[in-house]
Amino acid sequence: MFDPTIANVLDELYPRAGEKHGDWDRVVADASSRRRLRLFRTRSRRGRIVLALAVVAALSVLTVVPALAVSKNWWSLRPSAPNPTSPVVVAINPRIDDSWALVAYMSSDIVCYSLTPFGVSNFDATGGCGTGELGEPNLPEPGATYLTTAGFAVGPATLDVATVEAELGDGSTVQATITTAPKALGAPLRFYVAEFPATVKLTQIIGKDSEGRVIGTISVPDFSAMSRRSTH
Amino acid sequence: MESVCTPRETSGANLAELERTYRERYPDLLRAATAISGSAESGRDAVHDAFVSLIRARKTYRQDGHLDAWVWAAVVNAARRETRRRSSLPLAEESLNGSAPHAEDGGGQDAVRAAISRLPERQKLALFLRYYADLDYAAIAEALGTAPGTIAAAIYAAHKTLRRALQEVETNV
Repeated sequence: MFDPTIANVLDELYPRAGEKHGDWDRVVADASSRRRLRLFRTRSRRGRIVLALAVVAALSVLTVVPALAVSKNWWSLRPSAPNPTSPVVVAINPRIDDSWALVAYMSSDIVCYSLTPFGVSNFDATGGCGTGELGEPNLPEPGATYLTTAGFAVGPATLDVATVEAELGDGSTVQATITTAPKALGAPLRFYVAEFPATVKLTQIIGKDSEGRVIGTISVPDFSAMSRRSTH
Repeated sequence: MESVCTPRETSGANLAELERTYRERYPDLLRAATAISGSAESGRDAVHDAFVSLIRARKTYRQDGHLDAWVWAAVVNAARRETRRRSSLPLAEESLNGSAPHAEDGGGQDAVRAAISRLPERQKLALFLRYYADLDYAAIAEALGTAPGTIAAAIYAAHKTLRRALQEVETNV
């Protein structure tokens, strides 16, 4: 039984949504945020070891980063700052020769994040807090919007950012991996991780929307040139 | 870098089926969840939470059941939870596009809205699933865990109530 009059009335009450797509990636990320605990019971011995290392590495960074932060007097860890949410694992690269974990948490409205190697990976962990995201209009000081360590650039982006490219000093471009943060983070964010040869300088980070339009850029200062100038 | 993944299990036919259902039916799921929960925001949360639960529980899904019905049951339950969470009544001020009730309709839409909000829950859910999700009686019955005959009776009763409300509006105009 289908009554056209009632159908019209109901159509007017709740018109068909303009939203044609939800955010499947976020659904999956949220569904898996609790599943991580189960992996310790269900994975192979090797898998459990790798995961345990990831967690230990992440926890180490979360201990080291606040220690650094305290020594540098980051405001987010002052006694007056609100308590952060629990850290959440945003992404894990399971490749045995290039494994890392990206962990993030919120402190008030500031996002803090770290990229930590584990397993046989041999790069310096990097972590910090920032006040802006790639894709956000009028980004604040670029230094507060991304982190870089030898061969990696990592940072938060708005949900509008669909792809991120890292432009390098040798003229080449590297496509970053981008992942939506689990809902447990408490902020609608994506994170990008760009990996490039450690010997090449990073010059620019470019965020594009799903149509390929540039919606945010971060120009990376040449720190080595700056330090050379300051020593002359 | 191609192997980078979020910490999740990516294999499993059910996950792919759930993703397909989510992508193909999202507008209908959102519309029905919005109607049940009373706001677009709650509807969005309900669909999200339902699929999070479905992914987590997908290993318990019985292959002999209909996936659509399983999905709709989860979305309806999540939307009902959202309704309870909200302090305002379902079918309150906000419509799916976020606009307030139209003033120029002479209150007719408000009267119908009020009539729908007064329907017994089963009639209301059956009505929404019939019109917003385009489900047949058997699918609605499976989603709500009842018999198709019960759904037919519920929709018949809901039609009767709404027609009466519409007639009253026309008479007053």
